[in-house]
Order: sequence, then C-alpha cells, then structure tokens
Amino acid sequence: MNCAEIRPLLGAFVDDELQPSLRDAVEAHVARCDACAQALSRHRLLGDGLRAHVPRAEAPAALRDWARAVVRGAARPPAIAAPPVRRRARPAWVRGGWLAAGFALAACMAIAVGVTQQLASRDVLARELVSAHVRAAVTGHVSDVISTDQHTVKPWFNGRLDYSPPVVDLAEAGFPLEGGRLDYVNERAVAVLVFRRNRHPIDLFVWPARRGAPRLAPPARDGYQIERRVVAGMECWAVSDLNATELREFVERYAAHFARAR
Amino acid sequence: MAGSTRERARSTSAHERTAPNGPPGLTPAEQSRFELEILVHLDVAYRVARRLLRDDHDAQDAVQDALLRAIRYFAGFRGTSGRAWLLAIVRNTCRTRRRRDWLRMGVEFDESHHGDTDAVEPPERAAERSATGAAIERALADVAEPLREVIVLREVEGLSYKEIAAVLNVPIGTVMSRLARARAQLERVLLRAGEGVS
Repeated sequence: MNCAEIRPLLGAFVDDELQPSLRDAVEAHVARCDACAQALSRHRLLGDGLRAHVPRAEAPAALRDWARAVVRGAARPPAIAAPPVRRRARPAWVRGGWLAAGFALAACMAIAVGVTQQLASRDVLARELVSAHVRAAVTGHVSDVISTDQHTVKPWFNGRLDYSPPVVDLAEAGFPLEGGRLDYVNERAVAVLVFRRNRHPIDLFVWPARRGAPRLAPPARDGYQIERRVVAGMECWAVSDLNATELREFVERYAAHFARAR
Repeated sequence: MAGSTRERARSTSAHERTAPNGPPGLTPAEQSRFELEILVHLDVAYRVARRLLRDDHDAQDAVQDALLRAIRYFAGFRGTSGRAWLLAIVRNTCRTRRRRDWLRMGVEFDESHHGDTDAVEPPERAAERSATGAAIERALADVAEPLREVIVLREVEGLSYKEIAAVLNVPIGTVMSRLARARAQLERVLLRAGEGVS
C-alpha cells in the first residue's frame, strides 16, 4: 500500500480500531516510510498532549452521594447546596441597543458572504462526498443492504430516512445495482445507492433537492469523478474512480429511466 | 433579570426532583446492576456535561436530570456499553437545556461569545498550567464543537469508535471523519504554535 492509502488509516491505527490485516499493512509501511512514521508520531503526541492537559474533573462528592441515594430509592435524597449566586456576565452588545444594529450589519454581511459561501459549500460538499466514497471502500463498509434487486433495496431505506430515493437496476446498460447504505454527508443522513461498472464502484448519493442548492457540478477531485443531476426532485451526486465519460453515461441513464417513468 | 429567570429554572428542576411522581424505583437487583454498569461512569458524565454547559452548577443539575432519566429507562437498556448509554442521555439533557437557555435569552447561543474553557476552571489552576497546556487549550477552543467533542471523547475519555457513535447517534464513518478533521486541524495549529515558540 502506498502513502495515500496509508495516511487515512493512521488515525484508526493509533486508536487501535483497525482490522488486523490493515494494522499489519500500516506497521510494515511506517517501518520504511519516514513521512508516514512522522505523521503517526504527530497523532500520538497530540493524544498524549490532550490527555496531559485537558482538565479531568471528578464529580463533586455531593453529586455522588445524591446519585447513590437516588439509585437506592431514597425518598429524600441529600440535597445539593446551591452555589453562591454567580451570574454569568452578559456581553455588553447583548444588553444595549447595539443588538438591533448588530443584526442589521449581520444581514448585510450575510448577503455578501452568501455568494462566496455557495461556491465554497459546493467544494466542501464535493470533498465530503469523495471522502465518504473512499471511506466506504477503505473500511469495506460499502453496502448495508446487499441486493441487485431494486425491490429489496428501495424498501430498505423506509423508516431509515424521511424520503425515498428512486432506485433502479441498470444492469442492462452495464451498471448493475449492488446494494445501498446510509451515509452522513452535509450534516444529514443520506441514501447511497451502490452500482458497479466492471471493477469500478459507483456511489450515488441521493437526497431531496431544495432551492438554492449549488447549480454546477464541481470538477474531479484526487482522481475521482463527480457528476450531479436532479432526478425526480432529488439531488443525485455520483462519485467514482470511473472515467468521466462513463460516469456521465451512468447518471444520464439513471436520470433517463425516471424521466421515462413519469 | 437574567438571574431571576435562572433562579426560576433552578427551582423548577428542584421541584421535579422531589415530586412524588418521580422515577419508579429500581428493584434491588437492578440497583446493583445500575451501580456497576452506569453509576461507575459518573465522573465522565459530569465532565461531558461541564464541557457542554461550561458551568459547574449547570453541569451538576444536568447530570442529576440525566440520572433520573437513566433510572426511569434502565429497564430498556440492552446495550453493551453503559458508559455510552449514560453519556448519550447526559448529552441530550445538556443540549435540551442549552436550547432552552437560548430561547430564554432570545439571543443565539454562540460558542465564541459564551465564555471560554477557562470559565470552568479556577484561576489558580490555570496559572499552574504549562505553556503547552495553554497552547493545547487555545487550539482546542478554536476547533468546531462537533470535532472537539469527538476528539475529547476519544483521546481524553478513551471511548471506542463504537461508543462515540452511540453517544452522538451518528454512523462510525462520521466519527472517523470528524476525528481525522479534528486531528488535522489541531496538529496544524500546534505545529504553527511550536514554530512560533522556538
């Protein structure tokens, strides 16, 4: 395995959360790669630093006594003395009429920032999608439900999400459906449909489209292609290491199926 | 004014705690199971509450509420990690409180304006801490809360990925990606701080 494959595993390695075969691969790699060995020791130093310096208070004795008494079903658990009245100072800008002025200023800035943010959020989203795709491949957790049958995959999402992704098997076009999973992107759980073209896995992330979402599909990142369509009111983002032409063909066939269905 | 609403909040929760319709009692067998599997994690529960609420007394209050809930729902506890189960309840209790305080104040609860980590530590302790400690604390304060929460649960409290996922109610993949982002950000900041010193 090369550095690019080893680096994302280093965290799980220090946390002792890697499966044995990967753990051995990491060990073998850092033994002969200085750069990765350094990255690993930075992780370890950070952990040591946090353990040494982040305060680890114990629960106050009064709380402990109260808890024990309550667990044992005491009718009148020992009271916990209230602390001397100690007010958290409110920042001056909260008290004064500055508040209104602040909101007005914030509103102006929001408009200016909004435009740049839309571009930035598109990139952040692309990065998140690619990491989710790579993470699934690296951890081997590609599908939660393994089935080539769209009538098995689609109902699997019921109750797990508040929407139902459009599912179709595109085996005839050379993109067989392999299964589906839940992933967490953009601060929400999303449906991922897993397809395959020859040996290349394709993740299709699906969530309800809303207005104001980024319009343009971002370019490829780190050798991964991304294609975006809105299909049946859903944002559909395909991520794969497949070449751009074939990935575009995939999303077009997927979109065409539901265009025909309607 | 802030003080009076705060006092009212305190007396309400104190009332609930002594109300006759409190939690149904545990059987003696459940009592000892609860002590062994849940109550042994009281310290970490208190620390998690303290980090989320940034106030010793609010943290105690939240832990009390959380324990009452834990006792009430203990019959439904089937998991393997009592620690993760308790921490999930503590965290939810704290978040509900924070939202309530936020509504009462009518102003967005903003981490960056709402005190810093020193607020939960007596000043004499702060003075004792080394330069490294101070640098780490500053760096940690700059990390977004979802990332800080994950790295502290992992590195300081020693929870497994599975436990963290259960506490935060997110998939393990999310725990991993947040950890990676937290580490990258902290290491970058600390590296820069280190260069500044030398």
